[in-house]
Amino acid sequence: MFTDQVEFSDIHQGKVDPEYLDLLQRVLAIQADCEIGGPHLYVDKMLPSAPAKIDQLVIARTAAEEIDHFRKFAKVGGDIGVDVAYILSRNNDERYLQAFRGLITTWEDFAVFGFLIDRVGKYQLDEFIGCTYKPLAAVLEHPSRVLDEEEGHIDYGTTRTAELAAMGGEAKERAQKAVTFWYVTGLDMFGSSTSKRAERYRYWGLKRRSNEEAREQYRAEVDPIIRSMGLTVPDPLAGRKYL
Amino acid sequence: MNEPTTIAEPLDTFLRDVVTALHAAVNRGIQSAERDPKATDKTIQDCKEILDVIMAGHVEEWVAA
Repeated sequence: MFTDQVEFSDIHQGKVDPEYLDLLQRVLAIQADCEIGGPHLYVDKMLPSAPAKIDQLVIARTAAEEIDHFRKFAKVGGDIGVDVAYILSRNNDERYLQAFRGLITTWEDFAVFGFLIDRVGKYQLDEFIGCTYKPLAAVLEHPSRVLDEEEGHIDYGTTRTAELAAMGGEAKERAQKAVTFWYVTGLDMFGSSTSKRAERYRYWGLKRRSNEEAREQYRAEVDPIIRSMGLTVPDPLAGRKYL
Repeated sequence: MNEPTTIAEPLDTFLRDVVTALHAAVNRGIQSAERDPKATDKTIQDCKEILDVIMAGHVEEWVAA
């Protein structure tokens, strides 16, 4: 296992293994894509139609924070030659991950996206804590504004989802439908359990957990929350693309 | 040698300013939410206009400005 601490200057001077650089550039591009992918899903339809003015403002603030997260990862990537500017103008259906393709057009989908998908995002960010590339690790170093803000998105989404579930009737049914969709989408975001590339990320100290390990930890965290809302935990295998 | 991209710095500066402007607008909106709902509507519209610029993704225009 690679345990060196890599600085920007090491990359600038060509001192790192090409595979390390390739994986680092790739993971930064994907992370940047996911950060800006959220606002592209919900700003257009949800900002004008959220149930209350305060919710509209929360959506604007959430988008601002995700843009700032994009900025931070784009800067780390840009410094090592990754041009992520194209990510800002690509269509949603070109996003790296399925979760960020399409559009969010309902309040329950927006709420559950925060509850379940931003939570997956936090798992991904957790992978970079103490990673071997120091400028990347620095973004997540405690106290990390990125992690704190992501926690805020998760809490907001969880609270709004619980509110919908507590209303019962049609609102609860809509919440359940959204949970069923985003739960499976979220599980797929962790990637294949047999991914060779994931193992190489771990070898180079750019990630800490295997895809399966992170996915199981996520399920252990989220399943009890879904049940506590009076909702049903979806079948974790139904409709999955990456097992 | 891996050189920084030429766009990295100006894009960072542009987005930093956008985020600052958005946070300022959101804070104004929250402060006026109860006492002046019309002002909050205007602030929400301001936020939407700023975000629409980012969602359009015309990066070359941003960094050339």
